[in-house]
Amino acid sequence: MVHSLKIRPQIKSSQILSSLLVLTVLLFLLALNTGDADIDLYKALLQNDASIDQMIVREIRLPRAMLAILVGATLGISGAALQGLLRNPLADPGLVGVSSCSALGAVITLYFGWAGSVWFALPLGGIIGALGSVMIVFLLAGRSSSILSLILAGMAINALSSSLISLALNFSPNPYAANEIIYWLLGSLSNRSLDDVAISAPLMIFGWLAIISSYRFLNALSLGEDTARSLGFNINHQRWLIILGVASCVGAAVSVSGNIGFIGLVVPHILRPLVKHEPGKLLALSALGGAILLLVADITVQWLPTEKELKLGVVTALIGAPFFLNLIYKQRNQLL
Amino acid sequence: MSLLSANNISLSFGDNQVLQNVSLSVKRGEVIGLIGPNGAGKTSLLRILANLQNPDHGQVDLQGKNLSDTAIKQLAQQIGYLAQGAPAHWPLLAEKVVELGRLPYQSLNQSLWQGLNTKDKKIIDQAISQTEIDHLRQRPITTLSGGERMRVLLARLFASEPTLILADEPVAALDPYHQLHIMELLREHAANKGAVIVVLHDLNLAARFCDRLALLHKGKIAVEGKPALVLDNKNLRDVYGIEAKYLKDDSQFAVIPWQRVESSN
Repeated sequence: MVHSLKIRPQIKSSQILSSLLVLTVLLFLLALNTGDADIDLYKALLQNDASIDQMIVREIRLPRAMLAILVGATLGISGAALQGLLRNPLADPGLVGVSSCSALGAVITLYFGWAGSVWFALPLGGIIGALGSVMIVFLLAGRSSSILSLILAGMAINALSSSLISLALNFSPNPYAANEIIYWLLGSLSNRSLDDVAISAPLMIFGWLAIISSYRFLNALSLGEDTARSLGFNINHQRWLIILGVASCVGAAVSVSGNIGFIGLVVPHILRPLVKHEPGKLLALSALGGAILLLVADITVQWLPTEKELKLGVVTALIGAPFFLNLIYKQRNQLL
Repeated sequence: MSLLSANNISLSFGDNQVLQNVSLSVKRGEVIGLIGPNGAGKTSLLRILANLQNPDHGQVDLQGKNLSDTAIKQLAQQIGYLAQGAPAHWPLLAEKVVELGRLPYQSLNQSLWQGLNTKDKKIIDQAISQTEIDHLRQRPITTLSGGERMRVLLARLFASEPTLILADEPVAALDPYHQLHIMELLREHAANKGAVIVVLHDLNLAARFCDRLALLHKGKIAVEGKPALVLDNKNLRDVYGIEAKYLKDDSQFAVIPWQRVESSN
């Protein structure tokens, strides 16, 4: 890796960023053009004729493609932020328990049937779950928590929420409810509406901004907590800013999409060498990388000629897990 | 007036009294060595002086102003801290590590959109040439040798343009060439920019490069003063439990730790 860095011409991170941005836009358009119906996308987008084509694009495909970008970006940037914060390339939103607790919140609304009665119950459950997990982390790990106690708190929350999810499945009043929960847990972006986008997007964007604002801190943290503090950062403020940012955007993302794993883990891992391992620069890059990966995955599940559409979370895990195993295998000497 | 003064600092972790009524001050131009056995409280004292740890009692003043009343960003511009063990968690390029030294002078907007300005670049180049790491700029820090890595981290420190440098064992595990190099750079900083407080285990480097030594023992300063005074046989016996041999000439002397003493506390 050291040698290849020397031989390759210097690529600026702004160039990488803009090429990923272009790729995201192209994939977004491709996603809008993807689906069972054969639609003239140009006409449907630009002419206001209230045709069926236009309805399909606006009501079905647009929210789906938008959510792929929003959720993908959230998972990518959160993974990068947590890896920087914990200085551990294996961290991701799952680690601090935000994903699982958010899932628990959503499962509770499904279990009690609230999700069917009010449209915003499911997203709200996910967000409350995520915030709950942050509060529990706060209580367990304290204000001046060490990284270790933070990870342990995350593990505890993960264990608790997954056991409660299993309990809910166990006691599920009818097979349909259990089915609904299992399907939702698998992760998908199909059949979402613009309302789902509207309720989740602000929280995700708020989370991104909170994370991006810790750009400098994450760079400084490369040299350890004491050095970061001596460079003028209030460690506790910065740490909680990142955690709240992650909780907010992951909570919102999980509630609209279910559990979509591995993006937060794999995307920063792939992109890190491109920014010469700078944790701050990795944030925006991972957001775009996450959006691209999720768009590709979501387009793929629609293209695959399966009888029933594959769940997005299943596909990302199927591709992500072996890929990640391979990465660990290659870099096993460099990992702690 | 002293640049930094610590008055009656006490610190304990639970039942463990780490520091007890420690007072220490440093003037411009001085290099002060903190020495003492493992666990004597050297790192704790240094972290308190760097405002990384609040003492239970006592206070630290920087140029007459209490540390806790000074804005954290302003402190970052005045006090440079070199952590023990020289941690680096990602394989950042050496050049990028040095650039981190400019963080106390940058706003978020500048870091995100503009990057380094001409002044930043000039200061970084200076720090890099001062520490002789120009050829290492594009090397990941994790691939450097101990001595190279310490020079990069020192360049990072110089890039922050601090008045006072607090360095925790900067020469531990370095070869003699690099030990001398790092100590010369610290000496140079004290002469031109301000002052240095450095934690050392090597008594000879302490004797050779420090104006004054503070010998810590069980959380207290056992003795403080000129190296020749602090490093006498009685103090070394009482604090370290060792006997030393000395090589002396008119102006300088060297200490050779020779043997352990039975009656050590």
